[in-house]
Amino acid sequence: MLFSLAFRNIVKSKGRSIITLLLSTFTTMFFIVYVAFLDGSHHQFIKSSVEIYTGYAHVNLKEYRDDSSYDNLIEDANSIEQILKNDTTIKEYSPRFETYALLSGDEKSVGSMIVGIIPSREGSLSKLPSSLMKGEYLSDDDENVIYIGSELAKRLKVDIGSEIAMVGSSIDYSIAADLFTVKGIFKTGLFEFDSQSAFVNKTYLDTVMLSENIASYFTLNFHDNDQIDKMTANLDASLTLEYEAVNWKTLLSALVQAMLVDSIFNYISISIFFLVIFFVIMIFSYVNIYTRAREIGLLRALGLTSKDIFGMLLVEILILATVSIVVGTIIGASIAYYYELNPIVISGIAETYKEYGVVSDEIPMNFNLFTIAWNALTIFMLNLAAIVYPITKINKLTAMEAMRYV
Amino acid sequence: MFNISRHLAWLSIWRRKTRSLMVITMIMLSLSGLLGLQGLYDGMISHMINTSIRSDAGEISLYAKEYRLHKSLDQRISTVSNFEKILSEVEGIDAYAIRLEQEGLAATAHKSLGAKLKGISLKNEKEFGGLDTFITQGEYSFGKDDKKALIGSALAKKFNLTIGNRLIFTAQDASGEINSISFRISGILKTGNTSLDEHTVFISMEKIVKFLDLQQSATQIALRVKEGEDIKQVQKELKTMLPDTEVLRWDELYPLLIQMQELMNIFNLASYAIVFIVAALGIFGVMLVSVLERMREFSIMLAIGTPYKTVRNQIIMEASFLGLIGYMAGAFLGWLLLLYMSTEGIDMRSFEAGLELYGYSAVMYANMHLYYFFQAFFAVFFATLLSVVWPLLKLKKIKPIQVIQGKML
Repeated sequence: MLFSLAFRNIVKSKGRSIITLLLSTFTTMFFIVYVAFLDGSHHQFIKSSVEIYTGYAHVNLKEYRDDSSYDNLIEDANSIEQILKNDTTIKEYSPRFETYALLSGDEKSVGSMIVGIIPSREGSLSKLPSSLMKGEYLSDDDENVIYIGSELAKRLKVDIGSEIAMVGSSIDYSIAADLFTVKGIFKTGLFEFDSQSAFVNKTYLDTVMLSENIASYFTLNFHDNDQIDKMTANLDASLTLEYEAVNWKTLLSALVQAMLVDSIFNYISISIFFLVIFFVIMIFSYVNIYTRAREIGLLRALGLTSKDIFGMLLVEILILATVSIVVGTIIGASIAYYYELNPIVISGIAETYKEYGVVSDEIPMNFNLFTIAWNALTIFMLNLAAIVYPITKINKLTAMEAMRYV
Repeated sequence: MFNISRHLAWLSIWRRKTRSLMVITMIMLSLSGLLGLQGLYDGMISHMINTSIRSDAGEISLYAKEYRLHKSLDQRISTVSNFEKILSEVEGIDAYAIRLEQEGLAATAHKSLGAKLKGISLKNEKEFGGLDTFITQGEYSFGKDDKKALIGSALAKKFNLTIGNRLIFTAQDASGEINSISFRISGILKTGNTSLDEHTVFISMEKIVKFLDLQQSATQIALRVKEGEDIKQVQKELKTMLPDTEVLRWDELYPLLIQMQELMNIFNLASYAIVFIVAALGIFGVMLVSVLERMREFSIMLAIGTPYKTVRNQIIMEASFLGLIGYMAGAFLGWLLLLYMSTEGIDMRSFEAGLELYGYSAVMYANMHLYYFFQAFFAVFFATLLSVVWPLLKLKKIKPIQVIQGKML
């Protein structure tokens, strides 16, 4: 009976029903799309940073992240290599030796990061090989050739075949100097990275820096990166106490934090919109319920309890909220899904915001069922919360008071 | 007549107190929230602009042509004294700072990093933008005989440097030779300008001149203009006086900040539009029911000869009173919020690393401008007017006698 009464009231109060339905549908859709866009852009940011160079996880000496000096290098890289080799959860891994040196072209010198890498292993760990813009990528038997970022090449005024002199410090703190020929130029889109990075075959760089069997860290990729926290913890447990395994959430903690702050501000902004929606639904429900005050009084006089009235009015909003949220969720989720597969393209955004780490004009949305579910649930709860006050207020009236209500 | 309408309108809105209070609360809370966010976002961008101007660009900066493209000492400003003479002739200039910069490699005994060495005059920089106020550790001094250096906070952190530690800087001098210079750290600076905080070591002008073997040279001369509205005029004058020099305003040097400010303005306007279109719907709901339930009352008024205009004014005034009370309450609450955020600030130090990554301050201060309140007033005003259009159309269509007889509603 309550359901049929509620349904009749919904049909009878067309104005209120249509406005509640439209508002809730639009709000649900808007919220899902907004969060999908926000999460999508954040994921894009983090994914770029992780996949271009950093990698999903690192193994390093415990003090290395606080003090990445020569004092905190892995001095027996082979033993770590053996552990990683035996770990079946790891898909690919590779040691890197990172240092800074002064690179000089014919006219200009720039302080830059020089990294010794095993070229053949970087393919599935970073975007270094696929970011080749000019010349050739490194190979495992290369000697004094260098692979440099496009912006660094510009700063040094060098091109393929040019010579670059390097002056740095080897791990015994003696001066390390060598002459390299530019073999390839890469462009990842990460402006800062492209303007400060150069790569050399580790086997050769080890002879210059005296870093044989030494690495700054190992970068690695798990088979299942979705379970990265668990995988990293397991790997960490298998290492000796002086080493640690950390994943991208720790390695890029500042970036993760920046995205979190951005999300917080966006949620605060959108909450004002929700606040207004909440009041509008509440106002319409209140007005609607009070225009039916006499009818409600009559129902009470006929024997319905205040609990029944509460139930009837609650069923009304439940029907309206469920219908609108289902429709809003279907539309919102479809949009999010479509734009995850076909990212929104904002021409020129990568160039404009290059200093902020934007590498692509494409911004995919993030289609995530859990996120969509909590978005929809939030709007559902908002609808229910908006009805509490009007129902409580009308239920405080006695049957006679309600019937006499003008 | 107007007074009667006003009086009736005032009485009418308090006939249904709860309904009216709901509308007023809705306007008050949404308005204060919007004002708070507008001030906070505005404050965040203004802070970035302010620190960029104070610590680096000034309102106008002078560079040798093509220097910014190649960052090479070959493209430097030479005969600085001539420039100083010209600058002293321009009335609108308040202060200027001469800087000489070279990229290179900074190193401690254990670690090296790419960095910039910047020669400055501490006295000039203090007058120019209060560089001394950015000191977080140590002192604003190059020590006796200018042997010490100041360093950006993020760079110091990367090196694990503290006051008194030694740093070696290696770079190419004017003749192309690689030279090194060593100094102890006397102070750590945190400007909020990521380029300075992450990459820059400051030493005295005299020291860098010797190190790079350059006399009377600068890579940048930054200027402070006395009045904000004179910036373009001063730029124009300087362009005429220094045809071979790049004369750039801060917004040309930091176009991203201006874009961010414009985006923020668009975002604020869009927020006001969306929120108050929806709010108009709420006011509309109340006004429509208020008109519908008093159709008989209005019909009697019209039947006894009250002009439609009077009834219309009464309804418009009812909505206006709701809007106005909501606006005043919201503006007051918003003002309190802005006052708190502009004086006490919002402490976001637990997210410091993330905020610093993009040059935001960890303690955020809001701006407060009168135009926020005007903007908000117009948003409420339009929402109020919009909300009564439909009820008034409905009222205009009624036939009073039939309504009184209960034949039509």
